[in-house]
Amino acid sequence: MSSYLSWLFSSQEYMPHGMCFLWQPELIGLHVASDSAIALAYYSIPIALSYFVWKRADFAFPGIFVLTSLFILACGTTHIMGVWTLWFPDYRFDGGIKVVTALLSVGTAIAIWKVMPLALALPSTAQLERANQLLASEIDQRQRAETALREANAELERRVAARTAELQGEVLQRRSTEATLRASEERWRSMFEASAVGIAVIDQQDNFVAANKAFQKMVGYTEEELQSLGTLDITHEEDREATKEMMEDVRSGKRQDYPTEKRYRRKDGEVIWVRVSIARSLDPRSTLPGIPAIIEDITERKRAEAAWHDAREALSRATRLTTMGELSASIAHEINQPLAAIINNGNASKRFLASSPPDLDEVKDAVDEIVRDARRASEVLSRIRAMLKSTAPARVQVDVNHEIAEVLELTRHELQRHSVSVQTDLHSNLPTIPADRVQLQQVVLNLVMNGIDAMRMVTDRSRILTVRSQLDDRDNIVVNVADSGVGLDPANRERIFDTFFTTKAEGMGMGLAISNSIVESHHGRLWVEPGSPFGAVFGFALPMVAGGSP
Amino acid sequence: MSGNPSIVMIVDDDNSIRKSVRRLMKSYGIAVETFASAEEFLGSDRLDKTSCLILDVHMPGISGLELQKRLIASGNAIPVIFITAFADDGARAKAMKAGAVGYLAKPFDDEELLNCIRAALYHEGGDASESTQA
Repeated sequence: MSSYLSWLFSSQEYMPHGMCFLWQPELIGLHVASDSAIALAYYSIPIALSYFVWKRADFAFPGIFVLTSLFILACGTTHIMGVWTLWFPDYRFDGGIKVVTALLSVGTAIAIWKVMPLALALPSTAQLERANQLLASEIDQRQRAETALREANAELERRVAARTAELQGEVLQRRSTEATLRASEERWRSMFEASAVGIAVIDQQDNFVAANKAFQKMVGYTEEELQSLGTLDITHEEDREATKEMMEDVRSGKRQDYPTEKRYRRKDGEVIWVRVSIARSLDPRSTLPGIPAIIEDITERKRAEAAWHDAREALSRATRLTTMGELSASIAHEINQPLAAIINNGNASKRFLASSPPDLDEVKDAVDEIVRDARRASEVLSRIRAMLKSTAPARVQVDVNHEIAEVLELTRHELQRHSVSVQTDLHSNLPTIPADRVQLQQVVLNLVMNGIDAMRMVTDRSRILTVRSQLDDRDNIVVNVADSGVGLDPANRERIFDTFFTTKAEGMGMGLAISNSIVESHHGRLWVEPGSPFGAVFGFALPMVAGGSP
Repeated sequence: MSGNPSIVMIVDDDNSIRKSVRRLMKSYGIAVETFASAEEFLGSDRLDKTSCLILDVHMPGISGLELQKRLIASGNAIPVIFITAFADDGARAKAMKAGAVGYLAKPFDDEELLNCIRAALYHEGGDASESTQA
């Protein structure tokens, strides 16, 4: 090998290549210029490629570039050698350069083909462009999402800040509310203690939890004693059932409030009347441990009411007696009629029995009539007795039509005596109502007597008294008594129900006032309106279901 | 009038009174017809046959006093005995003044009524009341 290299670089006795060109300067110049230009260009290309590879470290296949650079460098050197051999005949060295160049060019060619599939797999510029665009839009989206996230974060922070401020406000407010509540509690406590009205707190089982001084004084028990008692324990025995029922109604929601008047039995046994008011409904779900109740002692008022009722009843009875007094002649007539018939039949019977043979058939008929007439007289008497007896008012189920008929029977002769004909229009299917029978008859009697009175002066037309009973659309029983009398002076219409107001010469002015108060005590209404074409129509309406006791 | 049996007419709105007076008269053998109202009596053809009228004072429609007045006005001088269950002195005076034979308060004594009827029949036709007895 070394001998070959030394052969290669040893001086030789060959002709310079210029000799072949006969040293013609034009030809030599042409080759020198061309080879020099090619060599310079060839040398510059590897520098550019190397620079490119160096700058673009990411570039694929840098080996190919290095190989290509060396191959081009070698090509450039062959052209340098072309110029060199014009004058110096180093053909052996020139051949060696060509061998190197040949090796490099073949290696490069092989390398290029080997790399080709990989190079083809490299993405094209268009593909890269598209990928870039996708990437850009992805980046854009991500940026937008990031912006939204930032904004959301800012909003969250803002809200947290606002809620924090709110909570701080709430805490402050709660503190102030607590202070207000404490003040309120103190205020209520002092009112509770100082109240002249009884106040008690009752738990869900109706036991007393607390009681103020006024209530303790009212019932005669201390607060400690009351705490071991329930409301029913101090309620009057007769009011316990009603109290229990009412409390159950309140609890089940049937009643919203609980204002009631009832009796308590004090510790010393004395009975007092109280009004109990429970302001709040007894909600079973309520977590409030006690229900406040206001209890007023109404014993005095009850006494006054009872006295007033007694006085009214006495007045009502006196008025009734007066009316019956006015009717006495007619009533006597009603009794005398059957009595006369009885005596006649008795006398006739005596004679029929005395005759020979005795006419027993006639006697039998006479006795039948005697019995019938005696009954009739007895009925008249019991009718009167009902109106005159002084029993306390009592509510029973009353058939209004029956009471009207009773009054018309009682006044039958009085009406006839005054040539008044009666027309009745009684609703055939009236329900019964809770009422005081005597008082109801008294009202009807008063209206009938007023009607007779109103027609006393009438001579130019029929004296007709029309009595009507009906049901109105609100299920009230309405009774009308219409006359064909002189009618009412409109100026008196307002005062006609006033006590002691009368338009009659002998009147006391009690009848309508008492009638009005009776109807009102039955939760009804009494009124008067002009008749058509003349006369007056008195009417009263009674509810089918009465409220509590008046 | 002799030969014709005297007939006593009773006008009273009360059925019990009508029937009991009729029975009483029958027990005395006196012929009787009854009417429930003055209108019924006036509307009947029995006015000529009436020898005595027992008349209730208070009746719906034409009252006893009114009927008495009408009979007098129409020249029917039928003797009238009033019976009433209603004490009314004014009515009594009016009736007696107009010539009533009697004015009896119910309940009345049978003898009292019989005396009035006798007086009426005697007054009417001069017949002794006994002649009408059975």
